[in-house]
Amino acid sequence: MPDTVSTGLRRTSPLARYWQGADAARMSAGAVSVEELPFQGVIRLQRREATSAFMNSVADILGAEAPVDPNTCAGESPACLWAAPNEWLLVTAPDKDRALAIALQQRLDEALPGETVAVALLSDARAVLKISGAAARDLLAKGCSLDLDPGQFSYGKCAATLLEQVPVTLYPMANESAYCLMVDRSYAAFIWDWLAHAMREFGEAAKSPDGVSS
Amino acid sequence: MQQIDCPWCGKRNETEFSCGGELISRPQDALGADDKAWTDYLYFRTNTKGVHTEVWRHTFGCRQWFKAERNTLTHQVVNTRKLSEETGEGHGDHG
Repeated sequence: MPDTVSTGLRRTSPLARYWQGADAARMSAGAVSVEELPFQGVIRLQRREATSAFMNSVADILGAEAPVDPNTCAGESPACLWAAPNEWLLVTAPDKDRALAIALQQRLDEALPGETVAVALLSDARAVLKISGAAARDLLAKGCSLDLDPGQFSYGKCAATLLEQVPVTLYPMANESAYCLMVDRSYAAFIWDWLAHAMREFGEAAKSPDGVSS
Repeated sequence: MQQIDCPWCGKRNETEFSCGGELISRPQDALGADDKAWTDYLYFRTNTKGVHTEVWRHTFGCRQWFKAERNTLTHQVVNTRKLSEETGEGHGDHG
C-alpha cells in the first residue's frame, strides 16, 4: 500500500510498474524467486573517526555493536552493514527508518556535542530485493564476480560490488538461502529486467515477468 | 582480468577499481613553493617502466583510496596498502 509522507505526495516504488495489482513486484522461475521488499528503510551513518563514545551511542540505539570488520553485518531489523571505514548502512522495516534516524541523531548530538556526524535517510534512493531459492546463488553469479560460496559469503557478511556492472550492496539473509540486494533507485528496473532474463534458465516462470520481451 | 587486493575488502575483480595515477605529493609549503615545484607537481611524472606506486580506488566497493604497486609492463598489481601505511610488506597474500 502506498505510504504518504507529510507533503501529501504518494510514495511510489521504483518497481511499481511490475506490481501487476499486487503489493510488491514478484517473479519466480523454477528454484529461484525474486521479490521486491518495498519501502524498506535505509540509513547511512558516517563519522570521520569512530571513537568509543560514537560506537557506544550507536550500540545504545541499535541494541548491538556496529560491525568494525570490513564486509560484515550484524542484527536483522535493523541490520547494520559495514559499508566503508567509519561508515555503515542500516536496513530497517518500512516506516521504521525515520524514527530510527531521528533517535540516532539525537543520541549522537547528546553524546558528541558540536561534532559532525552524518545520518542520512536513503530509503527512497534505494530499491531492496530478496532473491531466494536453491538457485539464488547461481542466478547472482551470472552477473557478479564475488565469491558467493557459503564458506566465503554467508549470513553475517555483506559486500558492495557490481551486479551486471551496476553498483549494488549484497548480503545473505538469516536462516534461509536468500540474499538481500540493494540497488540505486534509477537502476532498479534495469536490474529487475536483467534478473527476469537471467533466471529463465532455472525453470518455467510461475508468473510471467512483465516488461521483458520474449 | 586480474584480482586486486583491496586493503579493506580483500581480493576483488579489477572492474571494481579505478586507477588514480602515479602517487605524487603536493608541495608541503604551498605558498613558499616556487614555480618549478608546482610545475613538477602538476605536470611531470616519472613514467616508470616496471613496478611503480600508484593510487587506486575501490570505486564500486568500499570507495577508499589506497596505494598499489603496479608493473607498467605487465599491468600486474603486485602489492597494495593503505595510504596511511608508509612502509612495510603491504596487505595480505599477493600470490
